[in-house]
Amino acid sequence: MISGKGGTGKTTFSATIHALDGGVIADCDVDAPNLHILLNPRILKAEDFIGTKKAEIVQDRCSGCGLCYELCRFGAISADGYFVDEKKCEGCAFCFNVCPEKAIEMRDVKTGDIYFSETQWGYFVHARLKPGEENTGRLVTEVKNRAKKVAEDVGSDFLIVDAAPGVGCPVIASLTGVDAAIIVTEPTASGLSDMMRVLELCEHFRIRPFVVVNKYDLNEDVTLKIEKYCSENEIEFAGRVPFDERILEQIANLSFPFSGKAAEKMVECWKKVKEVL
Amino acid sequence: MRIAVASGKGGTGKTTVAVNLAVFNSIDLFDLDVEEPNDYIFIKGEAEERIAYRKVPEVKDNCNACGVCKDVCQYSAIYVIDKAYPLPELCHSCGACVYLCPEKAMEEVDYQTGKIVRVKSDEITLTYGELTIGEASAVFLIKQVKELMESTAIIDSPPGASCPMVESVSDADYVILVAEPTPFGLHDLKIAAEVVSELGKKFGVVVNKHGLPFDGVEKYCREEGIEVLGKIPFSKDIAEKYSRGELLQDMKDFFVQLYEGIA
Repeated sequence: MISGKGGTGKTTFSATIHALDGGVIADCDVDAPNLHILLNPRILKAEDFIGTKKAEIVQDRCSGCGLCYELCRFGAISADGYFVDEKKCEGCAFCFNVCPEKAIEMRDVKTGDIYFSETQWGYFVHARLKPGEENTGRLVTEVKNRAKKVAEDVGSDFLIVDAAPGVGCPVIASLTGVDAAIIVTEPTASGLSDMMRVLELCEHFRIRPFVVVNKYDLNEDVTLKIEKYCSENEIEFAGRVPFDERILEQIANLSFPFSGKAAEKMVECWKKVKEVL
Repeated sequence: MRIAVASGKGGTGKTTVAVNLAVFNSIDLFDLDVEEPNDYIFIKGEAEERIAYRKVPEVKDNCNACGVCKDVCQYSAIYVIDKAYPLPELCHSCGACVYLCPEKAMEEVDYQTGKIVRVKSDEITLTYGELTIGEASAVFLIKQVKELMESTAIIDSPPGASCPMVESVSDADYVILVAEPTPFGLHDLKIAAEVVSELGKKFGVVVNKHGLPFDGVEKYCREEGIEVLGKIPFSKDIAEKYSRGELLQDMKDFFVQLYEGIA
């Protein structure tokens, strides 16, 4: 489940599918995960995620030659006293490999937590990145791979991966190895622009896209433009979902599974995708 | 003063706030959401663009497939068979392989990470980056766009709470966190607030889609002593204007006051 633009309804759609058909679901928006708010899971297992290594200068051994400072491309080493700014360190280990005094060590850093959970409808793998951390892609890959393993173990026909907005590393990590991508977009100039870019991303990684327009009645001209674009470019169109104020109330009250015309339409779109696949 | 507009959750209204804040106060705008830049939709004018590059390794004929480059690369961005094959999309441009190759068989070449566009409208200049599709890291491009920034700027940040967001707000003097009043919005606001606090930034909150039946965001701000800078109503009219790529002319005063309240 991808979108390019944020806030188009990926999580609402993913959760609705899970409540209908169960199976296994993964929240791969590890920066700002939201699925757990709706699914109210029971956490069965929580684990630390060691997502990266960072350099640390052992002061006793440092001769102050400054080679690490000169070579670091990320400005992560300060020149006065030579120490590593953990926030800027990319974990490339360049300094570790060149230090003539062997004064630099690469230390494991915990970048998040991974949870394996059970919901009322099935299984749920999710995570939380430590705020401000990097290497989101690695954590996403870990969540997705674990969810895949769970799906195989319990014999689920499908795995839903709720991805982050954008087109960068967390989205690429969510997309690799999937059979299809549902692109949830909205009929706004931004939604359209961002959809084009995720479609290009799908093409780049040879992933089969399906397009759903959420809140289609917000601007029917743009909705028609999206549909026309899909039909001209032979992209499968899974349907349009109306704007439904009741779903906003249901989100506010956390009354899930959702009911009403938007939820019904989402179910229809999902059935269409499932049938085709 | 540099003001960054950020949020944990996507689609809360960062672009709306950033674009209108910049135009109605005549301040240059930087769209650092290079994965999905949208500000250009609202700022029309003559555009100039150039390619943005980063360095990646290229292998020369004297490679003897010793594998040192593969061993030092922390990003699995090189594989070795009969010689070394770098994978530029996974490369973090750290330069370690080139420097450590015993045969001096690698050199750094330019690789397109995206483009940088400047749009001059009647009121302001918009500068934005557009990441090449397939590039994993947005940070190289964000850094290059940031080099063009003066001491007064409005910054539209990418959503989330990881490296691209951190990079985008790191040079700001003040951060506006745009939050929507839903349980999702509250959850992600807390994460974003944690990031900007840790960076030592001054920040306040603009509530967008105010009027939705959830008071958790304002309650949280009250309890934490976070200033609510303003509220943008939940309205179909605003959503429709956004959908057409129009500015919120009716709310000009709101955005002027929002700026004055911070600066």
